[in-house]
Amino acid sequence: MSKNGFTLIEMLIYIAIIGGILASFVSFSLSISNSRNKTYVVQEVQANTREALSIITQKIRSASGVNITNSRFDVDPGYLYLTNASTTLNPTIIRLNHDNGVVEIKEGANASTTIMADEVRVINFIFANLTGGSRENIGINMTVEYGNPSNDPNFAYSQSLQTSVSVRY
Amino acid sequence: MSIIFVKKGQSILEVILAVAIFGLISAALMTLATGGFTALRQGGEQTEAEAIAQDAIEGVRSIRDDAWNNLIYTTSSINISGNKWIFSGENTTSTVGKYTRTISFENICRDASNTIATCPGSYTDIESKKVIVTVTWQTSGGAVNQVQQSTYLTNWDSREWTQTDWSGGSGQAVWSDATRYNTDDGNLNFGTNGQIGLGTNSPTTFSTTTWPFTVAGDYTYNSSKISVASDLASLADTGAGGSCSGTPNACSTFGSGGTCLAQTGCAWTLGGSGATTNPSFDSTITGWTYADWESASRVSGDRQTTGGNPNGYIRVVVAGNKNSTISGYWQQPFTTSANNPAGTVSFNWRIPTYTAAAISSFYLYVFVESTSGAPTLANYVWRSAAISGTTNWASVSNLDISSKLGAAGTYYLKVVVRGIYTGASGAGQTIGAFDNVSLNWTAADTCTGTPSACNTFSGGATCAAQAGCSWASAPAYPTDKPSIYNSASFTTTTVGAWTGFSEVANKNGGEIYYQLSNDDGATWKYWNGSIWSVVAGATDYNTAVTVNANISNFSTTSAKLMFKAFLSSNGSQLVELDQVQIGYSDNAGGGGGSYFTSGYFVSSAYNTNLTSARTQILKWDETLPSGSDLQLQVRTAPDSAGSPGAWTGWYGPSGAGTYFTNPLGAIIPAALNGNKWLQYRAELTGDGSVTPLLQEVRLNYK
Repeated sequence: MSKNGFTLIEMLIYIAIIGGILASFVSFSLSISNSRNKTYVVQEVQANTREALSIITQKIRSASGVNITNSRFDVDPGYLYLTNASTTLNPTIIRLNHDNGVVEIKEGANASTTIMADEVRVINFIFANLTGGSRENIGINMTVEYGNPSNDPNFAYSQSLQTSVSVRY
Repeated sequence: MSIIFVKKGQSILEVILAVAIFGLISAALMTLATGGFTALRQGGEQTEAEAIAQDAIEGVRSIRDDAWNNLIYTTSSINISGNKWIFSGENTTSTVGKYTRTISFENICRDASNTIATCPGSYTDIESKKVIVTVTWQTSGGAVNQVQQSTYLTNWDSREWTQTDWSGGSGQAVWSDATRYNTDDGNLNFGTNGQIGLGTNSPTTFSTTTWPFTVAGDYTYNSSKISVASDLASLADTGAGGSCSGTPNACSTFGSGGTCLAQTGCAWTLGGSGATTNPSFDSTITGWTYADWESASRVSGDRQTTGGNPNGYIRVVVAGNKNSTISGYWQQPFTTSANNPAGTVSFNWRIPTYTAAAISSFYLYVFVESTSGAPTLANYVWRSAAISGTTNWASVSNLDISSKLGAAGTYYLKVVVRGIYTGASGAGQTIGAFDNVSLNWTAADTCTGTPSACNTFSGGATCAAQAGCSWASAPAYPTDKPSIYNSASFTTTTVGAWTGFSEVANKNGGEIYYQLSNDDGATWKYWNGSIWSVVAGATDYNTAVTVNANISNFSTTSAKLMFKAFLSSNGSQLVELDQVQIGYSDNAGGGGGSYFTSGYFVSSAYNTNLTSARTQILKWDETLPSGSDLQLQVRTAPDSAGSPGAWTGWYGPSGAGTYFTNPLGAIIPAALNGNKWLQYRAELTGDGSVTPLLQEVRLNYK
């Protein structure tokens, strides 16, 4: 009996090994899951930022001018009032749907359209009037983060962009 | 059991092996997951870097929009100053966060078909630049990443002030005539359209030619106004001169109808004569009438057939009465047919009966009046002495009553008897009698009126007909400035320059004006103060002094000259032109060794009509023979009430005092930006045997 039975010590060791294996397996699974979330968040923020910047740049370039008086410069959130020769596009207004909201564009009499996913929010949205010559040059400073009401660090990600665009007409 | 355990149970070794395998697999999976993070982070950095690169491209574009002449660097960062983009300066880079940004510029070269080519190509296009923005950053892994963007920028939205012709000459301070400029140093030849070159400083020969007015057929003129004779071109007498002077005689001095009527302003009036009728009353009182005057009941008049002087007479019987004035009168009208005749009255009078009692005074009167009826006592022409008793017939002859006869018309001759009685008693009858009463008037023929003043007569004959006026004859010359010109142009093979113009003339207070023509009289030109301009108005001409001062600017292209002289007189001034002479230089030497070695000119000031113009690029077209050179400078000025204000210094591409030498173009320093007025200046140099030619200047601005 003494030769063929398990001793208590053998049992304890065995359980400890099994427990360690299980623990590392669970932690690995959680880590993979978090990675997936983080990847999604980063990708979502970057995609929205790129898209928003691309659309804003295109709208400014294709505008016939910037109405300096009606625009809000150097404050957050900024507000850009573009004039256009086309009556359906005039005025084109670029703004946030609300403070720390998403970017929306209103063209002429049309209803405004958001150009970002609801999951993100723009926490810094500042235009600057850097016009030197006859054509307006507008500086853009924009910070986008992922909407993260629970402050989960896995969902915290923001990206800042700074650029400028000249009107082309 | 032990066998089972020994043979089928897992050993600790196996467990360790399984855990190790799992560890390896999970480690590989974790590496995959975190590798995904790295890719995402790099993607985020790439996005930011591209935004920063775009920022630079657009910033440079904005600076370009402001002024092309800001783009003068090969590498320069940009920054925001005063809410606009500016360059930081040569060899600067900037850092935004962990990103380092370098902006560099490359010249653009183009080939002969203006396509972008590898430098050097045919030429370097000063109006194009390639902008290359490089953004580098260090990744967390230690590697250096980079984003690069590039674009071409051109000076497409600018304007050019182009001048291609300076043949209008100098003297235009502000640009309006595109063929003119402001000033030069006199060493330039601008006579050829479309270019400026150095002038010739040593004409080989000077010559003159003279018009002496010897042969009338050599000139064209109106022979009724100008005569060419005795080596003179003179104004011709029109015969319309002379004047009438003196004081005309008074009309009354002319005694006959013919001479009176010959005087303008005088009229001849015929006279006449007449008399009253029936002076003797011998048979009737025809022509006479009697009327009571005062106290009619006590006076009466009648004719007596005997007792007159002789025979019949008329009387007035006064029945005296105390405290009365008693009177009666006879009158006869007569009519004169001329003004102011002479007149006399003759009559006899007598007091046949007289009663002295109560008489205060008693008179006989004679009146000549222009109205019928009772006379006005004070106007008598004759009154007897106070009657104090009877008298026999007394005679009054040829009593002058001319003063009573004025204008022709009807008058009345009246004889009156009048007594005034006192309050004494015993008044009785007194009678006054008249006989042979007659009035004769006579008027001579007269000349009357006011003669016209002598100077109102313009003809010799009419003046001479006026007594007292005399005619002084004088010559008269045309006052409409008749002209004379040489029928054939002066012409020679080559004219380098017209050098002089002179006249010899007797002007006698008048003047001679000139116009010139270089096309045989098809168009005439005059010096308008700044250029030789085509004649438009009647007084577009110059004196010989003005022509002489400016004939050097007259076109020599055709090597022909025709002059037209206008002889100006006020009518009395005899203007005679004796000789006209011109001088010219002949460049028959072909120009060898005769150019000035330097010369310059300053353009007119050009108004860009922009409050803050960017003066960007200067280009020009030139022809530079070996040994010659051409360099330009530019300056600007702010507006000062519609004209240029204070000018900057003269600038070249490297600042004030330097020169533009590349005709293909160079950037004008930005220090000249912000003004309204532009001006350029060109200096031409040569070795004396050749001249540079400036053919077109283009000043780019916006």
